[in-house]
Amino acid sequence: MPYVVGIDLGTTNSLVAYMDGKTPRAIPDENGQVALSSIVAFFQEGLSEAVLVGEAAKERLVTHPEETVYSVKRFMGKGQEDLEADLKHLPFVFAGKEKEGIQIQIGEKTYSPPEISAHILRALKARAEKFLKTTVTQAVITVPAYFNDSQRQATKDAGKLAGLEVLRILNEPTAASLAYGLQKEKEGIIAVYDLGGGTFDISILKIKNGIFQVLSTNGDTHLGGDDFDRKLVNLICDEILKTHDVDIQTFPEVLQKARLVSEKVKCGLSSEDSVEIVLTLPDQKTQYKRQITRTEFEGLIQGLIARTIDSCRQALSDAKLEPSDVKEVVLVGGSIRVPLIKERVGDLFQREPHSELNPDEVVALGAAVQAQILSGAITDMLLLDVTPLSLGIEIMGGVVSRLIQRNAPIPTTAKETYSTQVDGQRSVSIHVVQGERELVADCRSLAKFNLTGVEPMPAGMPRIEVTFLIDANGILNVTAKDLRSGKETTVEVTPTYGLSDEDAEKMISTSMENAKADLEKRQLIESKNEAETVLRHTEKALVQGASLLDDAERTNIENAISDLKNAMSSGTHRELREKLSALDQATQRFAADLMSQSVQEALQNKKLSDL
Amino acid sequence: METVSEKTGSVRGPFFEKKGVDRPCWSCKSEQVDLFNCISCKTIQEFLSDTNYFASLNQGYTLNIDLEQLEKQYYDLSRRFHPDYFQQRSKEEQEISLENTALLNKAYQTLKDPQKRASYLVRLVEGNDEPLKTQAPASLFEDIFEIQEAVEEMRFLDPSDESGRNNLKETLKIALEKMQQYQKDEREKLYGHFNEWDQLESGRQSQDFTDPQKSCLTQMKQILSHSGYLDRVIQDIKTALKF
Repeated sequence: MPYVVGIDLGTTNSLVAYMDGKTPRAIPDENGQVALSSIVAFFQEGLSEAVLVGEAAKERLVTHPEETVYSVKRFMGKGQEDLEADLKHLPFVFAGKEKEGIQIQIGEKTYSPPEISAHILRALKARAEKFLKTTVTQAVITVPAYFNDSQRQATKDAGKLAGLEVLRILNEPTAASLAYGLQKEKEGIIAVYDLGGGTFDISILKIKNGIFQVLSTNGDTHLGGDDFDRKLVNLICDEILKTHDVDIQTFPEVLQKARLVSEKVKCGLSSEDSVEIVLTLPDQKTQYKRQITRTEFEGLIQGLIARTIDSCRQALSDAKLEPSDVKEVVLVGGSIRVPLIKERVGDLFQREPHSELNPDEVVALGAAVQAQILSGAITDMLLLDVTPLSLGIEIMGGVVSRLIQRNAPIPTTAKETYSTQVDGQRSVSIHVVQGERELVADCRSLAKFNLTGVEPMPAGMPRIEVTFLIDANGILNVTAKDLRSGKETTVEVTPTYGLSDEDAEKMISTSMENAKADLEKRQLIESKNEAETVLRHTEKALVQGASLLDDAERTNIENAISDLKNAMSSGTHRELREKLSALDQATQRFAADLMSQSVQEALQNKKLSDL
Repeated sequence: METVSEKTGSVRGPFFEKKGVDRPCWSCKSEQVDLFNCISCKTIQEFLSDTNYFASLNQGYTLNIDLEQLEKQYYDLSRRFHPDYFQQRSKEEQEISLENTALLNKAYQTLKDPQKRASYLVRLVEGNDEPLKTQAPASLFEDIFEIQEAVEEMRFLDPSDESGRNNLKETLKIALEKMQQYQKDEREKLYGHFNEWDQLESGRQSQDFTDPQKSCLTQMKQILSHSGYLDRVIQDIKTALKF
């Protein structure tokens, strides 16, 4: 039986693991190292192009910064517009056009993030094949739980490019819980706090009789140990600019060196109270030196850690749990070595976090367990995962109609019926978005597609049923069907890069500005929609129920209608509400009369066997 | 109510028993099929096309549900259907596993929550696919209008106007309490109807739901449509309180 391996494709390090009987094990390289640095270096060797991955590539970070790519995971499934803030920190050059996926320029060539990730995957595949002495063609690859659809697709593509059949895209914290569950054989509610080099996830799970049920998940796909380093780099840059009047950001080699120094300093401060920062300036003579204390460092990063704690609170609230309901907190990822994290997480959950498992390996080990489940060799464990972000579709006025709520268990489907807005409309365009905000413009656009060949009919007559299916990988499939003609289109959801979107993590709006603006826009749109509906019904009712009205009441209602129409064309949300309310008052008696005639109709003559 | 028997693959219970075997296996055409598996070729079978959420989890049409038992049923059926266990099987079997699991997941999400459960029953009996329409309770029209005013004012408030903010916050907090109390009282009423429904359901002799059951549903529908509306109002107040 061929091995299905588990791969943790990390921002900083990547690992591959397999099941040795009933025990998952990470596969070491010839030097006994299990972690492979997620760094890819390109260079010309004679006439051909050569690629180095891992430690060998790391050495070229400082000597050839423009040809050595690190932290490529941050760019998976992202568009140009997503990256503005990152560009100035990175020594390599981005190419590609607006509204397209990112391309990284190395010399004359450009590479997409999946292509670069594929080099890392190939290296891991080769390592596993050498170690297991057999070919490896199938893998489970982990991603942050908070990855959106585009990012998952990109990861799957990378696997394909590396010659691997990706049996499953698995969420990292869920993978960790599998490894944890296997070792500890404990039951109850656990929280997995996973802070890696570039991403953060929190997942709340319930473990019972071998079932690992994810109750909720939250996170930030742009927050990790890299950001801690960057805080230090910024400090160094600022101080050098001030005291030596040199902007090291314009010297890629020095900037890269500063990043590596910062990483070392950060690690040092996990055990020391104070560490010295030393950096040679571009003149190759002057040295910048300063002592930094742990407290000072903690001051720099406490805002970042606070963001992770907010995510934890949201995850708990989504799972309808209190911190005290959590029986065990598992810490995963290299960045959890920062002592302040243990402290803050411990404060939130009121208990000492659990860190007996190797935080660097546990995700890969869990992926190996899942690989074994998928290959049929383990039948007593089962993962029930959720989708991290809500999915919806654009409706009138740029508002999102949510079809699948975040934290819904996957696989799942949702159906909704839509209609046309103009007489004779022959095609309906459907815009799929992902995110928690109320307006389409603030969510991530996943795909736009057209359902053509709609029978021309008066507006509102066609019935188009749209089905969303999220599979066990968390990847979305959309189909649409014209219920009258039976015509169907299937849509492969390909990422719509860069539609002025914010990142997935920013989509759950916590900022007041967003909340205010959203509320305002949403209320206005909703009121207008409501007013339209009310007007349509009222006008219809005035005709149908004419006999139930006297002249005075009729005039009253007609005045209220014309006031409302005026407010609709020019009014604020508030005026609209007032006029709506006035119309409501004016029609109350009339509506009650109409209603009493039809109340029971819907419920009549329903047979149990019809259900 | 019995759950799925692990050993024999046979099932019992009101739905699983009633529906029985009324179709051949899609794969080998054998007539020897139980609800989930073909007895002769062992392939997975689709849920019957008219399977609703109650039926998929082998629940009767009761509104008071034993959540532990529901969870157990969900876990047991997940073990049967989940795509993870069909990775090495044919494409057709993988598709059935995906669809069955998707239905099961939605059913569990719906039935484990009392309000969603009741809304679903109302829609099921009405034959209505759409979510229930929400509606403001008439007795709260004035309060709601005042809340909307206050939310609006909060939004346009001069940031330096501390006392104005505090006054508005006070107003909103009082309103929030009132809305929450109303919701709480309504929920009590709803649960009262749950008991009433279950009693009627246990005494039901006929194939059809009885008139008293229908009127019980109408009353629940009213409560649900109000509480759906108020959920939104409460959400808006909470958002505004953060301004």
